[in-house]
Order: sequence, then structure tokens, then C-alpha cells
Amino acid sequence: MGGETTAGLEITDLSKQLGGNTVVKGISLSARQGELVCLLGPSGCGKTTTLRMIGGFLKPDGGRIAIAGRDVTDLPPERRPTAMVFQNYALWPHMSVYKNIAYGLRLRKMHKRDIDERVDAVLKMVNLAHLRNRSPVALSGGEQQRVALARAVVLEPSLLLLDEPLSNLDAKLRVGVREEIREIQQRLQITTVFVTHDQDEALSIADRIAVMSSGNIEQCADPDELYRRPECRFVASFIGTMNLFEGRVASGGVVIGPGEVFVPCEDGVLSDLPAEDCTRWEIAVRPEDVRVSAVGATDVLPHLGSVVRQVPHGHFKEVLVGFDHEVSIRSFVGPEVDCSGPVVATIRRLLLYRDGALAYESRSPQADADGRRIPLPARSVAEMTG
Amino acid sequence: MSVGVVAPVQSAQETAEQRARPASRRAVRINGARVVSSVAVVLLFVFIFGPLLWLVLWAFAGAWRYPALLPQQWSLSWWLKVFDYPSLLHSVALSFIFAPIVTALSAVICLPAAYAFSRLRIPGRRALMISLFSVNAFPMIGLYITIATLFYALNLMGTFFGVVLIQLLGTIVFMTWIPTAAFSAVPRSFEDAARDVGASRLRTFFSVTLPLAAPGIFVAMVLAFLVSLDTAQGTFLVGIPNYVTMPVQMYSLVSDYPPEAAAVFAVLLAIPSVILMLLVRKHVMGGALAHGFQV
Repeated sequence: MGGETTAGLEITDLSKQLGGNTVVKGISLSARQGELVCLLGPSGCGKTTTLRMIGGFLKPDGGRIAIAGRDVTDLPPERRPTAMVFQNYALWPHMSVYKNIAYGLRLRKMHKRDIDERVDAVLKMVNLAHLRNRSPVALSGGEQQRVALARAVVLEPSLLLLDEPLSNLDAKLRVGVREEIREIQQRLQITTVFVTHDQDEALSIADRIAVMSSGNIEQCADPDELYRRPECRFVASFIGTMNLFEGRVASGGVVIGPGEVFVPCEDGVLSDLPAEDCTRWEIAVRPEDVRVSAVGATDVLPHLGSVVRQVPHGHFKEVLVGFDHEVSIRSFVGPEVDCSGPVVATIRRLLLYRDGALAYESRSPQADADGRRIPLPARSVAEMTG
Repeated sequence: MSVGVVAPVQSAQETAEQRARPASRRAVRINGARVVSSVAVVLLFVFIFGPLLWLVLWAFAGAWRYPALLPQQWSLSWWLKVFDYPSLLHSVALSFIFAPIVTALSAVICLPAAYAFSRLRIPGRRALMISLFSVNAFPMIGLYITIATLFYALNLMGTFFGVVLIQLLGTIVFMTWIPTAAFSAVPRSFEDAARDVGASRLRTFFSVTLPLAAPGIFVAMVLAFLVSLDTAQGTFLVGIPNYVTMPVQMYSLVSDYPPEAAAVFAVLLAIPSVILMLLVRKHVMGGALAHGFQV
């Protein structure tokens, strides 16, 4: 544990043009010593370009990069205290696992005995001691991935760079390997930059996540904050599942879409807003913040809906509640909720955006008090809606 | 309900049968195609190896007159005559002096070019690479004669260096193309990874790029070696009378002796080629040669 104040990585105003396009538009980012920062974004957002600039493989057009307090902007990759795990692992096929890992140490003119010692230690750490003399070509994807990681950390870099290291693994392996990466990163306290387009991956292993979109960092925050309080519309739609509507605020609820569908809100959700406000907002509501309850057939309420689709997820289910004028709201509810008849949807927490930026955030819902929080099944939901 | 279940099953069976029938017809067609391609392969085989076989038979023939399929008499006498030929050993030795020198020089000239073609952004890269083919686009003898006038002016006719230069000409194309493909086949990330762990550009080249491109380069060098061994016209024109290599020797043999002697010498000439090709067979088959046309 180094001093908490030393910056592991400090990027200021970094920019890069490639083929006439500005791929990275003056971003700034810092990581504390020992912190794992994720660069998350859709493909083409500039995250890999940023990583390659940090590694020294691309020369930035503007801005500075400092690692562990030292400016490295003008240094070639071989003189930077960084080590990278490449997306395709880039293990040299003409060298054994041992030679792949030892190569960097041999360049540092270390003693043969010390090299052996360190290679063996790192192989043990990634549980590959038995594959020491194999050719990397003969290894499985997961094993290659771990060799690549070993080759990087054996150099004890100040900064570890991971370029979508899990994208070539199958889903099950991915979860195991990412936990392993996190575990090793924590144990060695290496400052790490991790590039991924998979929000699930980012949310599960990062200390902080920088969400990138078309060359800018839209928001940089810890996973919880990012999920709970997306600062812009892009992040709101990109992270997790989100109901997004155009609408306005009315007394006791919101009015959605051109069809003017009224959806009630719980008390206090809109407490800091004037009751009647004609501003058009972008309304963002997490599915777990929508309460769905069945109503008796005799009740006559103006805003009844019906469940048009439901997907069971075991301990909770995902339902799509349809209203008039093709308005529908997605909600995560407990498995006990009856969805056969007419239902009422109530919003317990919402975020309002104007011109793409967060303008209003309702207080945390009281419902949090009953301790039932439904975890986010980010991937499955995204696939279903797609 | 039950009807609803049965009906799809029946239709499934029907479609299975429908599918089976064209399949058998397809099988017949495939067999037909196989027969045709087998015949084509045999014909090609005869076309390529027939003359070679004929040549080998001539080399061991004592007497062979039409219409016999095989020589009436077998003999090694022509082999003895050829080995008795006064300057034979000298010309063999000379060929094997030229070939390594030409190969090495060609490598020194072409490999850096190949690396540059593969890794650097050169304006007009494609045009440059295709222009290398121009050497092979003209009848060689015409080119040689033009070059000869140049060589006379530079006093290169009949010199060792002149012969090296003329042989070098024939090696340029594939000594550039094949290694270019071999270098291009090495993923950039392999080089990046080496730089990343601390290797300089030069170091990266020698410990990652070159070893991985080596099979392709090896094939190119073997081909260059063979070209040098087999270049007859150019060597004849430039080297005579000071430098008489094996293929040049053959010209005088053909004019001095009956066909049997020429056949013996042709078989002798083929030996190094066959040995070298067998040596690189693995790499050629493995696609390193095929890469030459993917750039």
C-alpha cells in the first residue's frame, strides 16, 4: 500500500486523431496507486486508442501522460513502466510459456537463477506451474490469457494495461478469470487500466469506471454511483437497464409521451419540483424502482396497465407493463406479484434529464428500507430488449 | 389436439424423404466429379512426369529405337563419359560457388525491402511491388542482350561480378514477395508485446519478427539458390568463356555429344533442385509459398 495520495496514472487533456477523425477528444483521467480503473464504452468510443497511448504504441496529438509521477508522454513503449495484456494475448508462438514470461526479465539482464525464481512464482500465482515448458499454441484460451497476465505482472510494472482481456473467452470462463484478475491486482496492488465494452465486467471488478462515448469521458465514478446517478443521458441508457421516456411532471406523477399517459409516483419522489411544470424532461427510471401491483377488477383507476411480457429470473421476474398509446414500462418485481390482471405501476425513484444532462434526482425511495434490493441482470435484459 | 401433433410429424417425414432423394442424386454427381478430377490429375501427372521419366530412361539407355517402349539395351557408359568430361567438376564447383553468393546478396538487398514493404507506409507500395514483376514480363534473352551492352560499357562482361549480377536479377521477385508476405503474417501485436516488455525495435525484430518469418524467408532463399544454379542463358552470355557453370556446360555437351549424354547431365542438374525442394517441402506445403500471393 503506497501513499494514498500518489497518483498511479495522470492523464491530462489527451487527444488523438486517426485517419482524419478525432478519436480521443482531450480527455483527462487519473488513477490512484493501486486502483483499478475501467474504460468502458461501445466500440469506436476511443477507449482502446487511449490505452494504446498510455502504453506508448500511439503518439498522442496533444496532452500529457504521467505514470507514478513521471511524465512518459515522449517515451517509447519499451521505456515505460507499463505492461499490457493484449486482446489476442500476443503470446510468442515460437517460445515456450517459460520463455514468454522470462523474455522481459532477460532483457533486464537478470541472473538466470533470479529469473527462474520469479517466473516460477508468477506461474504458481496463475496456477499454471505445470504448463511451464509447453508451447502457448497448445494452451486453451483461458490458459493463454493467464500466461499473458503472468508475462505482464512478472515485470512488476507500475501500471498494468488490460485491453479487453476477456473478450475471447466463453461466458462462464470470463467470470472466473475476471475474478482471478481482480484478486491478483488487489494482492499486488498494481494500478490498472482495464478496457472493456462489457458493463457487467466493468461493474464487477472496477474501483472506478470511466464511461467513454465518441472520444469523450462522459462520467467517471465508482460503479455504485455510476449506476445510481448517471450524470448524462448516454450513461443512463448505457449502464444497466433503464426506462427512458419523454414527458413532463404533473401533480403526483409524470405524464409520458405524446399520448399523455399518467404514471403515479410515490410520495416524495417529486418533492423538490414544482407540482405543475410544463418543461419537457427526459425521464429515466430503473426497473427496480417501478413497483407493480395487481388491482381488483372492481377498482376503477385512470392509469391501469397490463403485463404484456414477463421473463422469470429465478428470485425475481422482469415484466413489461403496457399502457395506452404504446407506452410500456419495464419493471423488476418479486416472483410473488400477480401479473394476470390489470396492474398499477408506481415510480419510486426517478432521474430527470434536460439537454442530455442530469437536472433532477429524487431522493432514495423509502422502499429501500425494507431491505429488498433486486440485483441487476444487466446482460440478459439487454439481450431481451435488443 | 392429437391430430395437431401427428400432422407435423408426417410432414416432417415427407420432407426428410424429399431431402433424401436429391441427396442420392447429388452423391452420383459428386462421384462423377471425382472421376473427372481423378482423370485430370492423372493426365497432369503424365504431362509433368512423362518427359522427366523419358529423360531418366535416356540417361541409362544403351540403345533405344522406335517403337520400343523401353530401351533395348541398358548402359552406364554415358555416365562414365560425362564424368570423364574434362571441365565437368570445375563447372559443378563454380555453380556451387555462385549460388550461395547470389543467394546471400539477394537476401541482403531484398529482405530489408520486404520488411519495408510489409511494415512501413510507403507511397505507391503496391505499384512498386508489382513493378518487380516486370523483370519476368519480358523474354529473358531480350533483357540479357540489352544488359549485355550495358555490361560491355561497364567492363562487366566475363567478370565474376557480372555473372553474380545477372543471376541476381532472376531472384529479386520472389526474394521480395515471399518474405514480404512472411513479415506481414507476423501479427503486429506480437511486436507490440515485445516492445512492451522492454525490447528495442531492433531487438524486437531479431527475437520476434525474424524467427516467425523465418520459414517464408527460408523458402525464398532456397528458390533463389535454385535460380542461381539453373540460370543458363544469362550466365552463358555474361560469363563465357571465363565462368562456365553447370547449365552453361550443358550447352556445349548437347552440341558435342548424342542425346544420351545430355540426358545424363540433365539428371545430374536436377539432383540439387530435388534435394532442396524436398528439404523445404514442409514449408512450401505449409503455405509459406502460398502466402506470396496474399499480399
